[in-house]
Amino acid sequence: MVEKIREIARKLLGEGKVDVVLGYEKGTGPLSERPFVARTVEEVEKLTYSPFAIQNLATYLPRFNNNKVAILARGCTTRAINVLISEGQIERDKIYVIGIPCNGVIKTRELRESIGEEIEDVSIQNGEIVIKTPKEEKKVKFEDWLNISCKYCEYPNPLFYDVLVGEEVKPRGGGYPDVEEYEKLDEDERWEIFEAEMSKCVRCYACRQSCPMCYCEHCFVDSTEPRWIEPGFDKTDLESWHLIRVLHMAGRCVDCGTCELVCPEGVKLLFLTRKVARDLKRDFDYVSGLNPEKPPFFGEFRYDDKGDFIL
Amino acid sequence: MADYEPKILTILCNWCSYAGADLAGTSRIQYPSNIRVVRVPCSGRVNPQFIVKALRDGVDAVWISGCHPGDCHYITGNYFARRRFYVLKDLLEYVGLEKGRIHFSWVSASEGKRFADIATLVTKEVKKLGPRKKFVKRR
Repeated sequence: MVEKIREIARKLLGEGKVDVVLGYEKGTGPLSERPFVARTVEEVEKLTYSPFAIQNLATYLPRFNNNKVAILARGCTTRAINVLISEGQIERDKIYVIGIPCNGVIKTRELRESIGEEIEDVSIQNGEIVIKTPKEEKKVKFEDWLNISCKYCEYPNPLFYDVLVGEEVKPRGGGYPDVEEYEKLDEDERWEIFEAEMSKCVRCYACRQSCPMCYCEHCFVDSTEPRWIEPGFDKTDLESWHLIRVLHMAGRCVDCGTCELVCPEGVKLLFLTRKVARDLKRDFDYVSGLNPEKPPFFGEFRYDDKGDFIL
Repeated sequence: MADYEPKILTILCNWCSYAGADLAGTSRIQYPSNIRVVRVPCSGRVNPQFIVKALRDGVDAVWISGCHPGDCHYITGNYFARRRFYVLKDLLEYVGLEKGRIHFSWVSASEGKRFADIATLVTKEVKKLGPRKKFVKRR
């Protein structure tokens, strides 16, 4: 698969069809892959791909809008591209989509922490992740370490592509069992969990920087007048930041899970974004990123929208 | 908690609900004085961030009122607002904020009585809940 990707990238760059290829390269150690921009044919050799490549590359597209860009795209990446097109951030004909059917990405940070010692090498064999440490060889199940969004992913295959690498995969069952489970708890329990999660936040804004939908030049959290969020680690400030971030994501979040995967403190964020996605699907029959022609969720309305909560 | 008087941030749209409040006043209809009114051009002007910030800064509840669907001065403002409020209310209740801290209503300019009734209802409900403990910034 990696060889096929390199071959396509080499051809595209060599023929001058695109200016850059957005992909992944090996990170600083095993179990990590980071975004990489290949600008020349020589740089293509660095490109790689595996389920440890956790980030959504659509994040970088608006920054390359004057160039022709080839991008490695999973299902969620193509949905993000659709949202960006519908919001006028990028143009479809400047993007060459190298589609990758995806079996899900791994919670690399959590896995690395659970091993607790130096990792020498990692490979994936028959649905198992084989991790070599100096002492032994550990095997863990691939399914156990899947990102939550991927576990219930309905769109693992790219919605559109110019070239597809590999065979299309079968979607896993959709649904939001994680959200439903949280909903069953009583009010105070929910608040306790929410508060505990949010107080882990150190305000590094990795969730914002990695999110394909967070392209605002001036984020509300940086605004000093009005000051929506004050500096410091008061828990209400941390909670406000995450609540408003989720509200800004409503109807735009494509549920790629990047925000949670890149969080250095392991703050759970998907139970918030997935809750909004579930509501929009259930009550408004709206799924983000399926159609680039459709206006954003908050940019349209229907006369028969749900209104029974209003006195 | 008998002498507990909550503060309720009330955001009213200029064309319907604010005029409704005016009518309640000129008609000498009695309603609780716990509401603190902010006038906005349209309920569609209300950013959910306002509500989150108000709650964090310590108001006991928020009540937002606009024109009835179809009556908006700007034709469709309140339809956009309805979607936003739906998502906000559900999200805040999902994370564990008490039900009954955020209220929405449609009140037209001719419904002075209805305005007073809802003000009474909202105040009564918030009094029942008592002072807020969750999501209040300590200063």
